[in-house]
Amino acid sequence: MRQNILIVEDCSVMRLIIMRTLNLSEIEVGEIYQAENSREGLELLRENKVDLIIVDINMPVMDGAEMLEVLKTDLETKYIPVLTITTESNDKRIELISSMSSNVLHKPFTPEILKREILKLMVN
Amino acid sequence: MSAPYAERIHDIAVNTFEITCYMFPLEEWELEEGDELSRPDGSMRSIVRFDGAADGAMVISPSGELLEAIAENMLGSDETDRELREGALCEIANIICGNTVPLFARNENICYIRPPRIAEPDENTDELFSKMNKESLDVLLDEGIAEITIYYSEQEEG
Repeated sequence: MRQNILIVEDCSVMRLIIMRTLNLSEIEVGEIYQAENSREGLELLRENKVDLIIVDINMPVMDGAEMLEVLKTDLETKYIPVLTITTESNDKRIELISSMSSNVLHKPFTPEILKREILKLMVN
Repeated sequence: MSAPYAERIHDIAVNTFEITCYMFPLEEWELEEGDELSRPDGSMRSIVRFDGAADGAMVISPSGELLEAIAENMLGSDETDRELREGALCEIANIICGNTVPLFARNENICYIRPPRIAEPDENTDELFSKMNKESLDVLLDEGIAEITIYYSEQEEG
């Protein structure tokens, strides 16, 4: 079954890297929706069915942590797997972000690691 | 901070360039005679501000050939335009700064980093952050040189 994926990331280069990784993985990718910040991401979620969300934390307008809070309080979205990518290194912040995500991936990472983490979430 | 910032930021930057751009560090002595790398001219700089446990900013300025190689290696394509090169530089700055700011955190206080941006050509960062401490370092890579400057004012303890 094809999987629809939402990428919420302000950096166009990182979005391209994620898309390339998805297309090279064994996942049957359906639609890939892209948002430059969490507000846009939440709007796309209201209009589309999504099977996986990949969200960055450090973004303008509305950051990823705020989006995670909204996702976890909404019955429509709380069970969608979320892979959070971040440069955050503070233990308390990581703990908080982890409690609202299915998995957290620390930057920098290779495309291979990204692919492994995506596959892990899609299989589960 | 016990160790000098410059050394630790250098290690973080080298690690970031290795993992993200498949570039490797060079030592001065590894350069062969006549094998000169061009210096960054400051025409393209990315700035990342941070606040919380410490206030400050990191500025990253790559040489021309390094800027091109960053985008090409990150994307696996030699067809990159200015927008992609700027985006790639900002992402590298974001990663290096994000991994650097915990060095400033005391008593588990948190440093928040702000989204990176490209500096205006005439933006004088020394003037902008004149009241802050400043450290600069060069990162020599097989694809070129990156100059990194960090401005910071640490919070008082207690």
